[in-house]
Amino acid sequence: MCVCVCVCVCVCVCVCVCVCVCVCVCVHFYLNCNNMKYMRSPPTPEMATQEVPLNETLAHLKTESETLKSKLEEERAKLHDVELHQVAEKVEGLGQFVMKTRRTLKGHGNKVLCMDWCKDKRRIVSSSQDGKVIVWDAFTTNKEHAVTMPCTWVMACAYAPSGCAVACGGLDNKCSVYPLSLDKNENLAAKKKSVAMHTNYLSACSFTNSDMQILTSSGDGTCALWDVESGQLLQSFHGHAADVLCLDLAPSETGNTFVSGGCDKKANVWDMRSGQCIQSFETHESDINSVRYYPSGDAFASGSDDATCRLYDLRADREVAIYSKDSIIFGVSSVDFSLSGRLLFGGYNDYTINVWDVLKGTRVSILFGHENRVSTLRVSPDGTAFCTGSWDHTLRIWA
Amino acid sequence: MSGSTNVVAMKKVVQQLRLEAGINRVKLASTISQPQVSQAAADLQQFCLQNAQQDPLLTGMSSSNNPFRPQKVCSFL
Repeated sequence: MCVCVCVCVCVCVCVCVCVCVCVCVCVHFYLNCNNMKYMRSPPTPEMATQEVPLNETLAHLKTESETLKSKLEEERAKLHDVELHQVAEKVEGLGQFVMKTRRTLKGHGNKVLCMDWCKDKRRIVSSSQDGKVIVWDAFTTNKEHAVTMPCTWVMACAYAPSGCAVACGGLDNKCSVYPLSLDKNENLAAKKKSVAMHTNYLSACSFTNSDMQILTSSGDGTCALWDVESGQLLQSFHGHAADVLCLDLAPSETGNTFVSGGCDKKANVWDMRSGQCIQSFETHESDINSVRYYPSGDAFASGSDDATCRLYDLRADREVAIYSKDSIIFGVSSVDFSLSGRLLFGGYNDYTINVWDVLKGTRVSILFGHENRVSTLRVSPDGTAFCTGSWDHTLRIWA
Repeated sequence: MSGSTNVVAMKKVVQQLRLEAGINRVKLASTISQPQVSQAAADLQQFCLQNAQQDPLLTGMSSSNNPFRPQKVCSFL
């Protein structure tokens, strides 16, 4: 769609003489349509005659895609013999769980949107809608650092593996890295380094195995790998047809892949070196808000606005379990596994946390405490506790 | 103007579909040799059971070990 705006500026030079300057500005906007990537590229002078053969190619490819998909389903149906919970029937059931809020971290002035644990198992970084990023000591609940971002809605934050820096971003379309100093009086904002640049909001970020590289996902439909020192784009990942909302890196033993989930209901697994999408799963019925790898790296779980969590096995290349109940109608905002992968924790928009038995597919426990929707949930690196952040401005540590 | 937009957008959709078709062909070719769901599920189960003892949230750590649980109160005898 093209919108033409005519601006007329009248300039009075002297008392009797009026000079009219008419400035005609033609502004082109590219609107977002369903199932199309929205990257702002300048219009190329294409001839209208190219449309006809392209239409044919499009139709041909669509039919080919559909036939391939239906053939795949047929073949898969032949192989599909049993579900995960059937295999796990003989496994002992889990007993009652007593998990309570052990710490409440108060200090944010608005909704907590994201949090991450430090590898030292006690520090936490959290970010909120009011633009503040706070580093906490979870044992003592003291605040160690606080940074004010120049934008609101800081939707992503991550702790560096070394524990010496944090990365965060949101509506500013950037991911910035702040080195943490031991000197509490030092102004952290002065040392800020802008690393990633996207054309839409930053939805998630994560350091790779070192402090030197960051993986980001954005509302512009792409994920990208950046070098922290130079700010250079190392690899970009195209394939989602809408906003990418979450990502998770494979556990280090299994190599250079990561999974991303988006508003197009797809979860894609990517090869970090080639930038190719190596696997794709589309069984959710709504936006995928969170993805998390199973501790062995052979599977991953996803949480979606359709109120279900699902487990996808990478080697079987299909969904192997659904975690849902008729009584749960609110979307899942974030998921994480316990250390052994037996428990799946899900933070829901109905203010609760549901704990699922991964193997049997049943709900083990439901936790209450937050006074607004749970927006983020992470298990600590040593598995002794998990932390949740919520729109009620607090974070809670559960154990 | 809208013509060129359509062509550019359609080219992107075509590219996307080609990518997907490529992936789907590879998937179809390898489907026969894929491990079955039961095998993959058995592997997941085995991983869970092997690591169950090292999972504090699963086994429930005692107050003395878990830094987040409150310490038991000492009493004078």
